[in-house]
Amino acid sequence: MSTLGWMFWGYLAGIVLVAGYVAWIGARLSALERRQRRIDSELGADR
Amino acid sequence: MRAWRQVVAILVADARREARTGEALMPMLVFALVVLVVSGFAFDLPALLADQRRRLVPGILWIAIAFAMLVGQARHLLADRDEDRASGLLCAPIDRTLLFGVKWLEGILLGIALQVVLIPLAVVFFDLDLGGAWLGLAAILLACTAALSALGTLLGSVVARLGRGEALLAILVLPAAAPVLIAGVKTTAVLLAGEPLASAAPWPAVALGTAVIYAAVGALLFESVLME
Amino acid sequence: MNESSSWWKTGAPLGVAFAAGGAALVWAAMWYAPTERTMGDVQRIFYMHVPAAMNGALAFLVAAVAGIGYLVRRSERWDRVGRTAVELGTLWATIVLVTGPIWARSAWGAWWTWEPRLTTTLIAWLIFLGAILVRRIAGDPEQAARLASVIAIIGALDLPIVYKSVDWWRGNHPIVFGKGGGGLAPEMRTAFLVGALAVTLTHVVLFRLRYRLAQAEDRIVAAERLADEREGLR
Repeated sequence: MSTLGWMFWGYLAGIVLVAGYVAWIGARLSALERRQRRIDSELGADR
Repeated sequence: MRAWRQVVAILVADARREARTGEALMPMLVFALVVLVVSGFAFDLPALLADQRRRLVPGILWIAIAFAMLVGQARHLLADRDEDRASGLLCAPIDRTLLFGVKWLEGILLGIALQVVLIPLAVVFFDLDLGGAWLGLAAILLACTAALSALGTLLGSVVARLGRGEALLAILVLPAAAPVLIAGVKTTAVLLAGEPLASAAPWPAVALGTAVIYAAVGALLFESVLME
Repeated sequence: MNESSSWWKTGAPLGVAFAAGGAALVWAAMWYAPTERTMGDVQRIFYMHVPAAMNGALAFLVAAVAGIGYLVRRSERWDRVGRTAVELGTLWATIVLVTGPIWARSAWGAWWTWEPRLTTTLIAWLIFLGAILVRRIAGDPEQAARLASVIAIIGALDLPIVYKSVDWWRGNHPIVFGKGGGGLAPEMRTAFLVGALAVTLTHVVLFRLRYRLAQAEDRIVAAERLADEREGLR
C-alpha cells in the first residue's frame, strides 16, 4: 500500500475509535436511563 | 519503642505462619524452578554457545524472580486479608505506614529466600561462572527485590481486597515494574560478563532509586487501600 | 419519549460537529499540508498522532490529580472525573499506539520500535487498563473509586520513570519542537493547529459525555440502594 493509503487508514482508525467510544457511551446511557425509569416506577408503586 | 515491639510481633507471627504452612514460599520456589526448566526448552539452551546463553540468562532469571515474587506476595497478602477478617487485626492500633514497612520487609525476605535457592540452581542449570560477581549480584538482587516488593505490597493489597490472586497482580505490577526489570537484566548481564558493578551505570542507581520511590509512594497510599 | 428527543437534540449537532472536525482534520493533514521534504508523506500522520499523545498525557495527569482529590476529599465528583479521565486517556493512548506503528513502519522500517515515547505510551495504556479492570472487579462503588485512584496515582508517577529508563535503554524518536527539532513550515503549523484543535475539542466533548454517563451510573447505584432498603423494610 502507498504511504498516503496508510495515512488514510491511520486517520480512519482514529475517527472510528472515537465514534465507537461515543456509541458505547450512548448505548450505556440509554440502558441506564431505562433502568432508572424502571426503578423509579417500582419505587413509585410502593408509595 | 512500642512501634518496634509491634513490628517484631507481626514479623514473628507471620514467620511462624509461613513456617507452618509454607503458603507463600513453597509456591514461589516451585514456580521459579518450573520457569528455569521451561526456559531450557523454550530457548533451546543446550543448543547455544556459552556466549549466546549468557545473553539469555539474565532475562530468564528476572522472569523467574518477578513472577515468583508475584505468586508469593499474592498468596501472602490474601492470607493476611483472610486472617484480618477473622481476627480483626486491622482494628488493632497499628500505624498503616508502619504496617506497609513490615509487609514490604516481608516481601523482601521472601525474595531473598527465593534467590538463595534459585541462583545456585541457575548456576548449575545454565553453567554460569559467577567468579567475583556474586557480591555485585547480591546488591542488584536486593535493590530490585526491594523495588518489586514495594509495588507488590501496595498493589498486592489492592488485589487481595478484591479477593483476586496473582493473575490480576501480574497485570498491575509488571507494567509499572518495567524500569526495575530493565535495571535488573542490564546489571545482571554486565556482572555475568565479568565486568564490575560500576560499569553497569546508570542501572544500579535506577534499581535503588525505584526502590526508594515505590516504597515512599506505597507507604503514602497504603492506608487508602486498607480502609474498609 | 422525552429523553430520547433530548438525546437527539444534543446528539445531532454533536454528530455534525464531529463529522466537520474529522473532515477538517483529514483535509488539513492529507491535502492542505505540504509533503515533508525528508520523511515524505508519512509525516502526515503527525497531525493526529501528536495531538492525541498530548491529550492522552493530559488525561492521565487529570486522572492522577482526580485520584489524589478523591483520596483526600472522598467526593463523588472527583471520582467521576477520575473515571472519565482514565477511560479517555486510554482512548487517546490507543490512537497513539495505532498511528505510531504506521509512522514507524515507513520511517524506521519496522512496525514497532522500543522507542521511549511509544514504549511509555504502551506501558501507560497497560497500567490504566489495569485501573479500568480493577474498577470493574471491585464490589461496591466506594471501593472501586478508592482502589482505582491508587492505581491511577501510581501509574502517573511511574510514567516519567518508565520514560527515562526506556530512554537510557534505547532511544531514537524524532524531535519536532524544541531543542534539536527542525520546526515546522507555516502550512504545517496551520495543519497542526487544526489537528490539535479538532482533537482537543473532541476531548472536551467526550469528557462531558462520559461525565454525564458517570452521573447516570451514580444515580442508578443510589436508586438501587434505596430500592433495596425499601425491600428490606417490607
